[in-house]
Amino acid sequence: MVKEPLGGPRVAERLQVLVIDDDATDRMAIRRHLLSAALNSDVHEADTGAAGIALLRERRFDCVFVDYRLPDMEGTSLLQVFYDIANDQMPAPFVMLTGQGGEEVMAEALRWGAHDYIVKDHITGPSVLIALSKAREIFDLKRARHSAEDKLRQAQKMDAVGQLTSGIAHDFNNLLTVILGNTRMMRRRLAEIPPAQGMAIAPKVDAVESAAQRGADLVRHLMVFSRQQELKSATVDIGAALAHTVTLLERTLGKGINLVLTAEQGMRPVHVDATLLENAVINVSVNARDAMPQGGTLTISARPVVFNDISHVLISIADTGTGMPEHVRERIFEPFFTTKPAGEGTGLGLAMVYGFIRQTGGHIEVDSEAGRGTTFRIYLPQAREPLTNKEVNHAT
Amino acid sequence: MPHRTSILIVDDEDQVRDVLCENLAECGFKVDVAADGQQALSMIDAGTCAPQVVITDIIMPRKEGLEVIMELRRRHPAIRLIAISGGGRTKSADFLQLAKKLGADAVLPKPLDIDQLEKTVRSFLA
Repeated sequence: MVKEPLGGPRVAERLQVLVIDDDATDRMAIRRHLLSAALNSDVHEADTGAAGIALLRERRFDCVFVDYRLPDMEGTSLLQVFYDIANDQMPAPFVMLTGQGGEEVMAEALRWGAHDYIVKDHITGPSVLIALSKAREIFDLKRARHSAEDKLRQAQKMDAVGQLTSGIAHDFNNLLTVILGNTRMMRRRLAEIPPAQGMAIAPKVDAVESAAQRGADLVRHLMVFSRQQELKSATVDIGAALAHTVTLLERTLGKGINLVLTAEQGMRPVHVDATLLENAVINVSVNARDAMPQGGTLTISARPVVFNDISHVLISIADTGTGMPEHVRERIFEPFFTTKPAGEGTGLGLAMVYGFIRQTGGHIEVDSEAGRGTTFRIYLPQAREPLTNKEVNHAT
Repeated sequence: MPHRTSILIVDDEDQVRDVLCENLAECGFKVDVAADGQQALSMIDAGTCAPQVVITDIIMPRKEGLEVIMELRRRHPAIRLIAISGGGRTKSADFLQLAKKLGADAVLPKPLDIDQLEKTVRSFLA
């Protein structure tokens, strides 16, 4: 299922605050200031580092206040438990409570991922609220920067793989032309000699030719990934196209999968190759089914959205399956990457979906969490021209 | 000897050139070869080769296939053109579609289906 938006629940939900401090007076002060500011918040308390760590592992907080000296550990040690040093990320906004004149502690806290600090002698209403909002803002900024860097790195990697792929494809297509052209010649020579003499050679020629044909298929798939397939684009009504795809999926996915389609009415059409779009949706859906061996729900939906300032149709395909860990999700569109047992998956399915969507001018992304399911989102730019009756076509 | 259809094959890969040449010669055509666009145009301009059909690769050194197509269209409009390509080496571009727009009579992807190539050539002569 879809993850919560970055930074956690913000609107309509209560702010979840954690105070880790062995001094009950400090805890009470922070609680009082938050509540008197009429902040819609729940304040959780922990009086040891261990209790705080346990709570942090258990649930999500919108802000954490942590004392610099806890009975069982230093506050900075607690930060170190959660600080992702390589990515400069914390699981929540952190405010360190330091002693008077504790500049070194403050510096150390900031170095280990804290977003702000308050001097303990000055726990006042304004200082708590300022630290809270400052920590949350810095947390959001760091998170957004990390996500942007991550996306850029992913995009660069996919471009590099695409270049490599198209280079290999070009050279292999020449080599395969030579192999297939020569087997054709061999076949003609064989036809000129008595069959008895050719008997031993003919099957060898067949073997070479069929291997070369398999090579040609493989290269064709790679070219789809590197956005070099011939598209037969038309103006397509996505709602109608998905309805058609779903009838096919009902047969393919089998029992145990609850298939739900929701498409908004009256969306502008999309300029896309309808057959390839159908293949893409089927491909993602079959993967979703494989992620739900005990059955589950597959929800396919389409609605208009603005993405990168341009009107798009968003097709999302969400399952309630096993989900994927981060290191799998990151590589899911790479050619030859597969989690299926050897011989069962080519690792080219989603790479081809990726290439096709990019070649169409769209975007594809995936959200997943182990144990919660996976959502693929396909953004396709909306066509300028409205749908004419003649073109109300879908994949056939 | 009856008049044979003359074909010029332009490709920078000599093994590709050789195998196409052999196969098409066997189909009964008179076949000449050139290693790049520059050489192909010189041969035609000098009259050492008078092809009815030119089969050209797209990505080649010296003169690319797309230029060959444009120049032949201008200077020798009667010659039928077939563009062949195994895809872009560095960037993703649909060279074959571009070749068609620039005036190629037919486009065929590599790896080439030589039966298909022969059929295409014959369709020009019918």
